[in-house]
Amino acid sequence: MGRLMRVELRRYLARQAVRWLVVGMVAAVLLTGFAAWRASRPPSEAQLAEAQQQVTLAQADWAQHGAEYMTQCRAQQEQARQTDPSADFQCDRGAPTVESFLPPRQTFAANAYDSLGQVATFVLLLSLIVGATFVAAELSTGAMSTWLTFEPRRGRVFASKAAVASVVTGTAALAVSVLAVGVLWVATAVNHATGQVEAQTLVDLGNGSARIAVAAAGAALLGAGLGFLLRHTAAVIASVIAWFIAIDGILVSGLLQAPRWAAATNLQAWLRAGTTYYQQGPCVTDPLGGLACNPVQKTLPMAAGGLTLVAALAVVAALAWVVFRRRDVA
Amino acid sequence: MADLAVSTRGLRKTYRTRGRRIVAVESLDLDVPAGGVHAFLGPNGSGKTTTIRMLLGLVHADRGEMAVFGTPVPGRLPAVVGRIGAIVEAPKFFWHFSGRRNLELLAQAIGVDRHQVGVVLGDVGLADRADSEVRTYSLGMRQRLAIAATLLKDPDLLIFDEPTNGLDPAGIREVRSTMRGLADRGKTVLVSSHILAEVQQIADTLSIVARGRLVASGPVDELLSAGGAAPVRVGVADRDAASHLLRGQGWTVSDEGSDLVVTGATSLDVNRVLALAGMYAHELRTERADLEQVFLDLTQTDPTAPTGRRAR
Ligand SMILES: Nc1ncnc2c1ncn2[C@@H]1O[C@H](COP(=O)(O)OP(=O)(O)OP(=O)(O)O)[C@@H](O)[C@H]1O
Ligand SMILES: [Mg+2]
Repeated sequence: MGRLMRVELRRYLARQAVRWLVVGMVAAVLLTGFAAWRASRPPSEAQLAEAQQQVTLAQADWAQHGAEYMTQCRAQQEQARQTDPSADFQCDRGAPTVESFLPPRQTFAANAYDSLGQVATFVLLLSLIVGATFVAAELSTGAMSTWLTFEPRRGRVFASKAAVASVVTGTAALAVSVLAVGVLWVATAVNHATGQVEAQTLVDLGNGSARIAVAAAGAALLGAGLGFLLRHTAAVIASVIAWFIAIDGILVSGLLQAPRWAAATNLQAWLRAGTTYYQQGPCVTDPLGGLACNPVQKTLPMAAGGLTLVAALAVVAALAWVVFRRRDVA
Repeated sequence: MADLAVSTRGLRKTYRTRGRRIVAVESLDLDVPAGGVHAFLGPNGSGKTTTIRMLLGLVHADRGEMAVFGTPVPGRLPAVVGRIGAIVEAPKFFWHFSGRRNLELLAQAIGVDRHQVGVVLGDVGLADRADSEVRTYSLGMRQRLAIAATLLKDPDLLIFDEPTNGLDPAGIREVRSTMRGLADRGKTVLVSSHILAEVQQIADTLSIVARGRLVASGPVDELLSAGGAAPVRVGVADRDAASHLLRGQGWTVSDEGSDLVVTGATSLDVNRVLALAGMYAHELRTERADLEQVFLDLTQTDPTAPTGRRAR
């Protein structure tokens, strides 16, 4: 098995698609870094001047009507709390400052986690594609049948391919995520906008990167499994897109009203360490005789999302294995 | 069974395509003796590739048994796969690497000593071009490199599916002599082809399939004589009289332009009969008994007829 893994590893790294994967991932990271750099830039002279002008007016207004505004605000907040006890109108903000008239500025501390989430989408898509080509290209070019004449034990061939695809892709994704964190740091540090970085921020980013890596390994395995089943990379990509639109979006979340079981929800729960979704709640007849159905917010913990995905992946892998074992390899 | 490199019994394979069932191989009993070149012949679509793929475990048989060197396959294929080298696809090489480098990579992959690479390159006569890039090779050289690749594990049985496809006459000759050379060194070569002439000169034994069934098998020379007496071409002045006379002997005579073609008799018989009647042939020639003719006759026989011919 060790020898087979080495063979597959060499083949995997020799694949053109894998190089493009790396290029694509790095490009995604750099783009995200660029976006972070732009969003964390200090305001320009013109922006500052304009904000200064506006804040002067606003402060004058505040000096005159500030107390009045605060009472008004509190009254509105009180009213809102009758239906939503957690309503907070932030009535004690005090006098307007120049910051409120400047475009919002991103910092590493506040935004790196979200930016990493954007990188993740791209990384997962590429992982899926590269896992799929690794298997499908060999099946459709006949390289697989040549290889099977050297190693006819299909179980080993299947396992070594799946293992290499997921482990290598997962490792690459981890490296890319760590790189992304580094790039985000540099991009914001250039603008002196790292913000208040606490130990917890870094722990969150580290955990987030690890979860992206695991998800990427899963995506590559899914791609490989579907590659065994469908034999063409394009078919794999098309079926995954079709799944997200038709099954996930229309059927599961729409018609069946079960967003808990949509792949997107579970993926989100895994990547973001838990997520919330809305489910149609009990319907009540309102005083006017109409039917009001209020959506209920629910949370899906990270572990539940992860386990659901693992179970789904296991089903695909098992199916792929059975089909590969039985099918004629042309 | 031990002296057989390959044997199959009652082998059957059907493909389902768009609801239709295609019988690719039907009740095939194939015996390939160990040692020598065995030609596996049949017209296009007669099931040769399917049979080879079943032997290699790439395609699953519907029914029947197969054995390679007495080991049942595909059940125990892993135990004998080390003794089999096969080309099942147009070989793929790294274009910008030398032939040697390509084989070294493969050797590494299958756990064969790198020293073996030089040996197999010599075996196929590529030693002097081994260090050129593969993209500079002729088609025939690439095919020989593919053969060299199958030799890396030093197999006892080599299976080549139409190895001369797409080659020019020089390339065909190269590959042919390579195969013959391997057989002369004690290996068994199973080579499929739909063109008899391509393998006739180098084959020791052959099997002929048509529409998935075996129609003939055995040593090449036996099959040649099984093809029946060769026709005799006769040139005489009075063709009508001669034709009448020869038919009277119970032979088949056909008029082909200026000549008569007689089947069922030797040239000696024909000459004697004509001479006794005072007719003299200005031409008398035995048409060469060509395996090609045997092949064509056999593969055109109705394969559903139960009497498959076996010259053995
Ligand atoms: N994957 C497949 N799916 C469906 N039918 C197939 C498949 N492979 C082969 N066949 C059919 O099975 C029959 C035998 O094909 P096979 O390729 O074994 O013949 P062959 O003797 O190798 O022919 P050729 O000389 O053209 O290579 C043909 O009718 C072919 O159309
Ligand atoms: Mg064929």
